[in-house]
Amino acid sequence: MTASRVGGGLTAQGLTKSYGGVHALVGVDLTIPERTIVGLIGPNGAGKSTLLKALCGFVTPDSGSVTLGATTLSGLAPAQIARRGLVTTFQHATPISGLSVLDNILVGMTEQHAGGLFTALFGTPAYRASERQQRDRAYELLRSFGLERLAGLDAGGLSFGQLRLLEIARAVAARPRLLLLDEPAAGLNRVEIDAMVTAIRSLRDEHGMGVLVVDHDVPFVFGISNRITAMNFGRVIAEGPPAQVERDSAVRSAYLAVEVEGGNG
Amino acid sequence: MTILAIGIATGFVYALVAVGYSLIYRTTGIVNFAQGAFVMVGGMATYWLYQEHHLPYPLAAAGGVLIAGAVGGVLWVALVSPLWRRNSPAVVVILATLVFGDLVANCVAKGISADPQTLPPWIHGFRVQVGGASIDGQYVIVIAIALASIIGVAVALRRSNIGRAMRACAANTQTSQLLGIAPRRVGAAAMVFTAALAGLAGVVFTPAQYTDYNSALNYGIYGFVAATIGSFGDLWGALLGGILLGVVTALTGRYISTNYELVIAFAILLVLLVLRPQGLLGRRAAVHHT
Amino acid sequence: MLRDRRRSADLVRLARTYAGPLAVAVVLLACYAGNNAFWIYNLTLVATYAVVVVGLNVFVGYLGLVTFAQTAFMAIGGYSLAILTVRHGWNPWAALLVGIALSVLAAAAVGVPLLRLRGHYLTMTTFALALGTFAYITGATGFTGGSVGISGVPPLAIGSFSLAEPRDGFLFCWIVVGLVTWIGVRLRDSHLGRAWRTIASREEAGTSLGLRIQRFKVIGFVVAAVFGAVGGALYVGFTSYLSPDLYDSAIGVNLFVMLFLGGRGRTLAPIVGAAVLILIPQEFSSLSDYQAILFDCVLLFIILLKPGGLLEPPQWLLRRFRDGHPPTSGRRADPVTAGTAHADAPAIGADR
Repeated sequence: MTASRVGGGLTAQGLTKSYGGVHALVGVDLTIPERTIVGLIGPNGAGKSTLLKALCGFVTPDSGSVTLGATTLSGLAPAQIARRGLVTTFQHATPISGLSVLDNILVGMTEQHAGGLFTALFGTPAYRASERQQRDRAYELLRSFGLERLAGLDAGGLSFGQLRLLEIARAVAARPRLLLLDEPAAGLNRVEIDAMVTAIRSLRDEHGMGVLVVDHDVPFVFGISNRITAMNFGRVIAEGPPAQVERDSAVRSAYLAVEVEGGNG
Repeated sequence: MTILAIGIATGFVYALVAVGYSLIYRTTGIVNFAQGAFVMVGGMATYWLYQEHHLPYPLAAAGGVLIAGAVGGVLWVALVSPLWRRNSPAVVVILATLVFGDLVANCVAKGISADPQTLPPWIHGFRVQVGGASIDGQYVIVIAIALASIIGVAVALRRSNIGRAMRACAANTQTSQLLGIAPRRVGAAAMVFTAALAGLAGVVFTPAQYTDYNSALNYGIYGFVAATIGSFGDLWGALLGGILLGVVTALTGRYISTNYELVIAFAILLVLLVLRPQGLLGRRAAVHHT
Repeated sequence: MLRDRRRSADLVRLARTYAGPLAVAVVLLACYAGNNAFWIYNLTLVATYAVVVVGLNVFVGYLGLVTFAQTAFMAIGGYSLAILTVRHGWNPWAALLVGIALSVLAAAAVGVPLLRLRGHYLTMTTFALALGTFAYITGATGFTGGSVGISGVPPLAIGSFSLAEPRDGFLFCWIVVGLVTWIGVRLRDSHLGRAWRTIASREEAGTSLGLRIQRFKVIGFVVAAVFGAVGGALYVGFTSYLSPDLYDSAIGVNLFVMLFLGGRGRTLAPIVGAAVLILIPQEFSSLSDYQAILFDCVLLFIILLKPGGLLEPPQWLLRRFRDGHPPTSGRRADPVTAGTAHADAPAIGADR
């Protein structure tokens, strides 16, 4: 399966990573074009989290490359990768307590802030303009996720579902070209999942991002993805539109057990 | 040559402190900055029992070790355990153990003596020929006992039940709990044991030189540097780091100035952490992902 | 109706922010007017330490990291002033500037490699740095005067307004306290402060958002260092004398006691903590022998039982406050006011 460069999208080729005798990733190719939601599925131990870590720079693959558009991400530190447009959210929401919800969003915009030590200290017009601009944008972002009423609250006091949305909103604030969502639906109730689905779709449609969604909730992933990549034992076993992957025999056999639980979502 | 021998002996003391750091870190994830105080307590408590209460020397020595262990127990029960249970931020635990060590040192200064004290040698007139000169045989005793202790710890970790429990806790606290191991008990045992071990180091080293309340800080810092050189958490690394550090500081004190011993130790630490954060044996990273 | 609720919520917020500093200002003005030599002298000492602890508060309170290096930077400030003025006849102001510049350089040089380290490594190396500095200044008798120290340090002066004059010194030092406190609060409420809060709370979140974590840590460290140097220089300028004892490890612990007494992360913590630690022992001078033990116990007591420090209102009071005035009282959150960083919430979290 050759992966072609896709405009501004993410291309990972031949990612391989072994831990002693454990082959976590074996020649994994992954493509996430812009304006596309790609779902990543696979049973436990398939290598999904290793793949995510390799994409984000928390793990250095033994071989293979990762590029985002024309930019090579392989070998860069996680923060550098984030600044070049690839941002991830964590499985466990990481709200910054002691800061309001709005301030949490602003943290996402830190690298875009025009200020420095002295301009912050003296409150120069340029600094204050940058602050105002960012606050307005942050508020709009909160509104698009339905969180604007929480703007002034301490982020530590939000409900589970709200935290998840905040996590994504904050990641969007960093203006990524590609967003990795690790188990965004885990632990959410039906209402919250609907809000999550709307939010993720808006990332693709209004922000034009490529999105990679990793989740165990197979109906959820199939429901929102344009394309699915399925993994097992560190390899990609199927790739394509959801309907096609659903019928794939390799995927079916890997998921024989999951199909039974699938109805419980 | 004599300097080298003294440096090595001192290094073994640092190694025992480093072993203590590593053991507690591996079982509880906590860095106990009061470690150096236990060494000092071993020496000073023995002095107190021997000189002020006129206990026979061997009894006083045993008492010194026990008292050091007891102080470790106090630290666990009064400070570490409550903070650990509350999941206190690292800042707080670090500060607490550091202050406790300071408190112990100050209490000893007030309660026993603020002056340096020494103890009689274990074997009278025992001197050893090293190079062209003869040095106090006590240094050799230090090396022998320290080496035996470290080997004993290594064996105990592998073979004994409590040792296995410690290794399990080090690997994964939650799983250990599921297996019926009580991490708190293991932690308490680790702390009391390493305190007694450090106390032993103090008891056996004091006759060779001296001890005073200030040494608590010194041992604490040198022990930490030694543990870092040896990749925090590794037993043999602690030994290696301790000996290296002991030799380097002894040479610095002799050929440059005693004032610079600490500076050199700090410089080594800095260079090491910048160039090779995983320690000489390359096991544990001290550095963040940026 | 809604208008009234909004107005009262704003008034409460105003009161909470300015009540403390106002109280402090009133006490200080009373002392200045009263001209009691004891209070003037001791409160000036309190001021010099408060400046240093404001710096400590930035690093420990805002960034949530531990540094014992403040005494090293105090020494840089103090010795720069003393050596340049006494030995080389420099103008004290120029010497002060040199001290500040040196502390910036030292903090950057040490900070860049050091701040990549995790918690306990950072703590120990800053501690070793402080002790190493102490060992050096005690030993380098030719350069620093050794344990004898340096005396006869000329005061900072503008015309007839001189640091050596008790009332002038009092005024000047407290103005500096106000200045550095203001700087601390401005930075805390800026994008810098938000980055610092991220480091204290969830550093990995910051990394995943692309924040240059190291850069923000170094900035915090340098700010702390500068305040440490200024505080150190002020003390020396005021007392005209320094010796290595001013910078030993006991002082390092004392700085932490001051900060924790006041409540780390709180704006007035340095002032309250320094005042309590310096003034109270004067009352109990008979216990001075046991001072070190006492301070250790106080700090451990606070850590165990009252981590929020003396300034934290007891829980029952906090709860009543909150029930009466919800943060967003049903009106549309104003992006301008909603984004103000926590007014004076302690930077303690069970999240680390």
